[in-house]
Amino acid sequence: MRRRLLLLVSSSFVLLLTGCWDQVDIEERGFIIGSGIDMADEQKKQGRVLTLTHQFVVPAGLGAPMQGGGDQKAFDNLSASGESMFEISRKMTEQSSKLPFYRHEKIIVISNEVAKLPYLFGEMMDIFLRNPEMRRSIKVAVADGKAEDVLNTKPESEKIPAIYLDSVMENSFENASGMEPVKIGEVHEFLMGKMSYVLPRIIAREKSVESEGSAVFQGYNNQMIGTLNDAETKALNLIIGKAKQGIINISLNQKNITYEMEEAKSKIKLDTNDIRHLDVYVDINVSGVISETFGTENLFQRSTFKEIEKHVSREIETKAEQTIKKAQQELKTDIFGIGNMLKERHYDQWQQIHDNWDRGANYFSQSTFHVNTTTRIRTTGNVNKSKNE
Amino acid sequence: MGSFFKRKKQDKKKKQQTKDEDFSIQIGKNLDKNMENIKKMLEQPNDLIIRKFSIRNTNHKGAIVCIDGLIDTAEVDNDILLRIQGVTERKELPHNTKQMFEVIYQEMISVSDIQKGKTLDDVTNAILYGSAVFYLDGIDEVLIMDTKGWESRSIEEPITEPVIRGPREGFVENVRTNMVLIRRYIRDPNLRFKTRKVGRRSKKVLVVTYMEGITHPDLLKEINRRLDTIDMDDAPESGFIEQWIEDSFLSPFPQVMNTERPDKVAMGLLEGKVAIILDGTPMVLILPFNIGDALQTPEDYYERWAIGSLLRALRYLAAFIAMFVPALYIALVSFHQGMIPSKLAFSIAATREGVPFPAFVEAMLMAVTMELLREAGARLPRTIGQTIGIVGGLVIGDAAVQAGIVSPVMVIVVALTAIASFSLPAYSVAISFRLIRFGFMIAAAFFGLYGIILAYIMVNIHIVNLKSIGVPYSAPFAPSFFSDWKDLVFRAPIQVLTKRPQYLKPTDQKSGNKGENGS
Repeated sequence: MRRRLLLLVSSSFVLLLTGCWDQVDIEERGFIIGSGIDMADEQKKQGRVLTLTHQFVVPAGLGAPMQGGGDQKAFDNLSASGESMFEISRKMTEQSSKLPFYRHEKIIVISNEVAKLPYLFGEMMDIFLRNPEMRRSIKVAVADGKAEDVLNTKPESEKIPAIYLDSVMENSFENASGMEPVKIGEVHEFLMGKMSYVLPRIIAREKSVESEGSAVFQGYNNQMIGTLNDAETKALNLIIGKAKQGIINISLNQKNITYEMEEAKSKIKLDTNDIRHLDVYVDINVSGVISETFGTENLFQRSTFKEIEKHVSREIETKAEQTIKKAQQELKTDIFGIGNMLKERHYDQWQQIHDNWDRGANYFSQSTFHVNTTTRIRTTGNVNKSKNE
Repeated sequence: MGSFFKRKKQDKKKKQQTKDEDFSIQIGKNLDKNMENIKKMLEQPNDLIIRKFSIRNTNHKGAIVCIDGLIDTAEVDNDILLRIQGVTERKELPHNTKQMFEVIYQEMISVSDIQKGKTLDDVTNAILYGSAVFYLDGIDEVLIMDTKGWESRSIEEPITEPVIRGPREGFVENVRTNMVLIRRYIRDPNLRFKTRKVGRRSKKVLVVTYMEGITHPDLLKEINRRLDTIDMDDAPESGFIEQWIEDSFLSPFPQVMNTERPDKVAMGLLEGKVAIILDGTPMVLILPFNIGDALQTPEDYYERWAIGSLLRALRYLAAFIAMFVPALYIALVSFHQGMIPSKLAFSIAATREGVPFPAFVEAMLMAVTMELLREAGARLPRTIGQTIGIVGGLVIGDAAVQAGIVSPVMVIVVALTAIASFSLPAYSVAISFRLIRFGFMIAAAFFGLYGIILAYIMVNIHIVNLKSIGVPYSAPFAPSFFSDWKDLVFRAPIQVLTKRPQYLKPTDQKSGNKGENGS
């Protein structure tokens, strides 16, 4: 009995040995919710100096139920400059009263300037991928202008800009045919795969941010080489089958008809007879509803239905072809992931050309795209006509 | 099978029975001498009634001895005294003393429970238990008549286990009444009541109840063996019996169920369990007991099966909430802030801004306050008890938050835990869950979620090791008896529940059939 007691007491000392080494109470954590990367204003002669901005949440400013919020700001942007990300983070810890905590980080914003330099973007991402506190679901976006300005917008609806940004990107994809948010885990895949890719682009306005098209990155050096506007991004989404929602305007007998896509699928087939002049067949399948008509056509007529469907298909095809043309001739970059498909489906042939796919000899630009669209109208809405002539 | 019910630990106490031989003085023929003996034995208490009289028309002397308050005076007066004194008007009594004693025994006294006694010990035991004893001068025997009639509480609704639907009667302190209550539920000739006495001094009546032909004989044997070992002066409450015969006194979990409800006992008996009724307490023990029983009430069966199942599942949830929620709060708030959804994390951080204590101290403070309130509410007279509730609600709910000592989220956590633990049907189980909760909180304070999981594993190991009268405590979960699972977390429709619990190995397995084959 005494020996047992002794054992119990001495083993309880083990508890004291461990202590509570990683115990930090929640109010002592400095929650970083968003980060922005800019080029510093003052550059050294050698090497690049970067500015990192962290957005810290100030929980008291969010308004505890008792205090009622008040005028306190709910966030606090801290910036520091340096050559490596880690060095900057350390500098920032000296400014902050709380321990930086990255587990609730939502978004990383890269400025245009940084993205346009070759290789830099890939190098920046390393610390965000390596740090175990970082989640792989952090969204990455490219700012048109300074990233700091994006993090400094003062939206009316949200108290924290980063959360606002997060929802704007989510919403623009779900409901407004914007670009699907790209997460840092996917960025990791891009960097590893050396394939070209697109990232969402955001523009800071005075009291809001806008999700506007996308930024195109060249795969081998991670350099931003151009942008796509909203319409082109929509077409890109349709081609690669990632479109969720979207509006297509057509005119029938000089009257506008708005067609709202509800579901879009695409199938891409490759004809690799001549690998240097690839044939790409894109089949787009769209179904949706008619959400607005200015005219007075009887929509219940089969012929009218067919007519509208044909117009929508043609409209989609035109948009898609424009975007393909831009990618092939202006950007000379494979934004559609055709290279990836080649690698997956025709590995041997891919091995022959992968160094000259969308650079060098640029076989991508020399391939031919055939776009074919099928459209289906599910319903005309609640009424057939809203008015008579 | 025998080893299944065998008790693990050897009892150190030897079987020891109080032998009454020392007191077995024979009753003498002389009435006065006998009266002297009785007085000497009981040191002449003033509630001892000795009524000497002579039997009419004869010169025979007799006496009635009893204790005031334990007897029904009217019964003694009308059915015994009046008969012996008055009936002789119509009938001649034999003059032979021996024959006369027989006539009194056979014909005159109209009390149903009447016995002959020969020793002084019989007499003292009998009068102390409320019997009246008739002495006849010149005879070395006495008549012991059951005339018990002391004041007792009437049958009321059980306070500790109220139900919405179901019988309203509860056990009382009187063992006879309690036996009657059970008999009224099970009118089966195989219902057995085995009486024994416990307490060296108090000699309380203890009744072991079971269904012959359902209860496994080994189970009964084991219970009787353990009851035989009981050696104490008095057992004021069935809790003494429970603690004496339970398997592990170190475990926080109760291993014997206690109840005030006869319907619950009846249900248990028909499942093949054994009940122990102790005189002087309305709390009847049912054993064996397991973790599944802890979260069941008879009402689960009275309501329709979907509702019964829902309520049971709810109770399992409540058990987990009562055990884990404060510990989870501590672990998440002081270790794993990344696991809380972002907006909730910020909101918790905002409310904890300015709270001077770490989460563990905060949680402990509130949990102890809650326990104090509960205890105070239980001890105080009912009228004042409500005041405590209001004061406590204000103190822990509002003032503590206003003063910035605890965060509002903590108040929610404590309140949720308290509500969950009150929703458990068995009070003794709820207490043990609350006890374990403190262990979880300490584990969470040291190691976070990792500690909670370690502690949970330890509790599980303990539960599967624990036995109640040799029956695994985790049955029918852990030694899996799949056919019992339809009456565990969920309760299947009554028509499906045709078998008695298999983990009790009842000798008669079927409790009903759908008319397919009679049994």
